[in-house]
Amino acid sequence: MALQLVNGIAYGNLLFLIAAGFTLIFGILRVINMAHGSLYLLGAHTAISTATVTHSVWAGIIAGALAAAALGALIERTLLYRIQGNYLAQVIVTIGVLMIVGDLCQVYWGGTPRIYTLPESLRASVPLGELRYPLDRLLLVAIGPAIALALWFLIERTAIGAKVRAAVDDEEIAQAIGISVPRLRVLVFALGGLLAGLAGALGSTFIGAKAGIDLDIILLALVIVVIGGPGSLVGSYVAALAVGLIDSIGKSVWPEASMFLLFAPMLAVLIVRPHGLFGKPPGPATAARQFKPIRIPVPDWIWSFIDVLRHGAAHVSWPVAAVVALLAGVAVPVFGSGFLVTVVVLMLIWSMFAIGLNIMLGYGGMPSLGHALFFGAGAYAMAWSGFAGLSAYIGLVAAVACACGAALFLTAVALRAREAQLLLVTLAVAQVVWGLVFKWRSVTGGDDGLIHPQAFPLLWNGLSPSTSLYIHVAVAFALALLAYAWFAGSNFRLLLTGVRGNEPRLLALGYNVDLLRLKAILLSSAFSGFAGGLAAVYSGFAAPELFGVHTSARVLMMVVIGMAGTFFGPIIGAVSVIGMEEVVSSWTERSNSLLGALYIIVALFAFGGVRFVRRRIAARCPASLAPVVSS
Amino acid sequence: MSDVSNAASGAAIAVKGLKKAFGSIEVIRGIDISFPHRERHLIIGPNGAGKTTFFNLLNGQYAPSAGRIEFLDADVTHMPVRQRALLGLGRTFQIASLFQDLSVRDNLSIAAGAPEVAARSGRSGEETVDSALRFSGLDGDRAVRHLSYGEQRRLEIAMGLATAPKLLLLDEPMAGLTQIERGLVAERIVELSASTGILLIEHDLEVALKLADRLTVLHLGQVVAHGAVDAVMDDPFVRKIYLG
Ligand SMILES: Nc1ncnc2c1ncn2[C@@H]1O[C@H](COP(=O)(O)OP(=O)(O)OP(=O)(O)O)[C@@H](O)[C@H]1O
Ligand SMILES: [Mg+2]
Repeated sequence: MALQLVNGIAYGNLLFLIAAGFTLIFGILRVINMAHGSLYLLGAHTAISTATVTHSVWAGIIAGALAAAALGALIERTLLYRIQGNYLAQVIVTIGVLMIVGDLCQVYWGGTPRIYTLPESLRASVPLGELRYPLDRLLLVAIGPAIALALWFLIERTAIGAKVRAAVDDEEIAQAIGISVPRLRVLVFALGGLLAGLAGALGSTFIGAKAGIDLDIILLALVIVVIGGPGSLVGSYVAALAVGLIDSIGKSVWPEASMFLLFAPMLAVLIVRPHGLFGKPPGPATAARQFKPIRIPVPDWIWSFIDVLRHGAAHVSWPVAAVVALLAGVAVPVFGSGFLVTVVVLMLIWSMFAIGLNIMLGYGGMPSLGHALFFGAGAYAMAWSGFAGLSAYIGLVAAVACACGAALFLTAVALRAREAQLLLVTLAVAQVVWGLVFKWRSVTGGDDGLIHPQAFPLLWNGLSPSTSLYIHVAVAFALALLAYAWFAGSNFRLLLTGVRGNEPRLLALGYNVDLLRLKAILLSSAFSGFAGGLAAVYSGFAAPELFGVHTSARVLMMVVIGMAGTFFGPIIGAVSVIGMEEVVSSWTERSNSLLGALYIIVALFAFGGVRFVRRRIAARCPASLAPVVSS
Repeated sequence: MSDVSNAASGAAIAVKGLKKAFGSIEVIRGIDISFPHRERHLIIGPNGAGKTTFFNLLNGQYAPSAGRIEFLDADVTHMPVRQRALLGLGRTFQIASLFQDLSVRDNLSIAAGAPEVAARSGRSGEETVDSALRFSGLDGDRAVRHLSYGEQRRLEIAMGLATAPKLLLLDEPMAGLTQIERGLVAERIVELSASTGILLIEHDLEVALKLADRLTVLHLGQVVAHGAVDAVMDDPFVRKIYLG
């Protein structure tokens, strides 16, 4: 037991290093830095390589920390400062970075896990009861508190810290009294990177560097930050120690449930204190933003073309559009190749998934980075229904029900969170469920997933299975579209737009806003779970990746590309993202890097980090000169 | 039954020992006052006197630091905004608080469709929306973000009306309007008062005094005068605040 105790404390201190950088960046800059895991990964790899080459452990540690700090500063300086204040864009961009760095690390350092073995001379241990405990791990117990104190001193007691705090309170005033906010932001990111890199280096003797560790790191950082309270260093320390202890003691007492043991305290904290043990609700957001968008001039004829398209779209009549859609739907299996049919099936499934997110994010203004939860729930419900011998139609009902169950579960902890905090909470819940699915072999098949027998019946003799699936999915899509149209025309949609635009007024009118949000999340989960069920039939198995952050990020991308809050937006988004992915993955092995780059570019475009401007001189002066007093 | 008890105290809304502090600064410093049913009551005071804060306390936007609030003889001191709205306490906002993404009609139908409204007004949602639309004099299909400032203020009041409140709090409905628009809004307020009690904050005394049955003057978070309009305006202290 004493061993587990010391282990837990050492591990907890390492976790603190991991979480400290994340919480610093979120607390000061309100950026959810999904690339935090990449910083750790880069730090670990660099440290191992440097130490191996130079035979100096210290050189390794310093190199690892510096490399991660440089990457952190680079991300802020080149990408994030263009989209300040837009947490959705920041999340997508940093996920892009996560994908690219993970991919490149694999190219450069290979796919096998690397663990650093200390040279003989440094391998000391101290007696601990009847056992001996490695000294290097024990060192963590000293380093953790030292760093915590140093950070506290830096932020609370130094001139730089005072500037940072001033900039957090009011960016405009900070600028006015001569504090360079952009430089401070870079500094904070470098510091966050430094801490992550340091954690990577120190952890390289027992956690090591391997593909996928970046996602694990984000999961841990999230859990700690959510428990301790976003932005609170003290909270992070307490939560990290607690998580470290729970993890190491739990693993020895009840190994199968170790993930659950992480999960339970997080849920309990979220329900009792939505902002974490030591967190405070966020103050009014700082208003002053100095975007530095990249401006790309575009010739006039392209603009006229876009105008013509827009104009044309406004004049399409419904019956004609429906007939065209029907003809196109029939044409796909009749004239298209088998490959086209599969791609279209995929597009339709993801459209329904994206429609689900659009209801929540687009109409209701509730961002979610945990929508994979509903998709995965639907898929696993379908798989289980297959094992239970139920038909796929009942499987679909089960998928919707299971997703709604997951939604109720999510709302229990997320209903009171808003904006960036909501993003954080949905992500944390989904990530932990992902971890649970990954570890809980007996029920979920673990990382192998579930290969299940579920399929739709052939509609008539001689019909090929893929065409039969296509017809089923197309009909399901039509039904989903009808339901979606009904929603868009309903009074409920009106109220939901009200929630997005002006929640206080709805409250003052006597509406139960929480109930509206709950309904929206339920409806959203129903669409997403339905899509998840179809996806399970389509691929023939349900994998834990369905619950992963990549799934959530992908659907978020679709909704963002298609312009959240428009009726056809999610469909346009799903079709274009899947189309792009098919094209990109046929080009190269390194599709993750390319997709990551795509995410970054699209997010920068969609949120104004890059702007198309008209090339005409006259158009350069915007309308701000226009309001001449009339009448 | 309820009529009898209402008659007993005769107040639509009453506060006792009401205080509100933000940090160490006390903005409302002990207010005892009651407003009778079906009155047009004007509240004035210099900038920063605490008028908006007083409204925020009345409708539950802020929790008081001390004191007690009764609405229709029920203790609502710790009731959230939503519950007070259900009881029939309506308000408009100093800074127009509309649903910018929606049309005028949609805004009004959200207001008219609010819980308990149909029960209070005894009319269908559609009727309420139509009459509120007529009241506002706006085109129902226009998007709110394309309305002028004055039109937004008119819609703001129409939304207050559409909820068929028992008491309506109007926070500076005429601020920033032209003389003509002020006249229009004043007419609307008189129209409104046929069916509901009104508490009105206003800086434009010339227009507002004509509307008011009675008058309260707030100064530094306290009531310095309260009563019939002429009597209050003759009060030497009030004259000192207002005329220097
Ligand atoms: N949420 C708040 N936090 C801190 N101080 C506040 C808050 N709301 C109001 N105050 C302060 O309380 C005082 C009274 O404000 P209030 O808005 O009630 O004044 P008012 O009488 O409505 O003024 P005006 O005529 O300008 O509308 C002001 O000094 C204001 O700065
Ligand atoms: Mg005011």
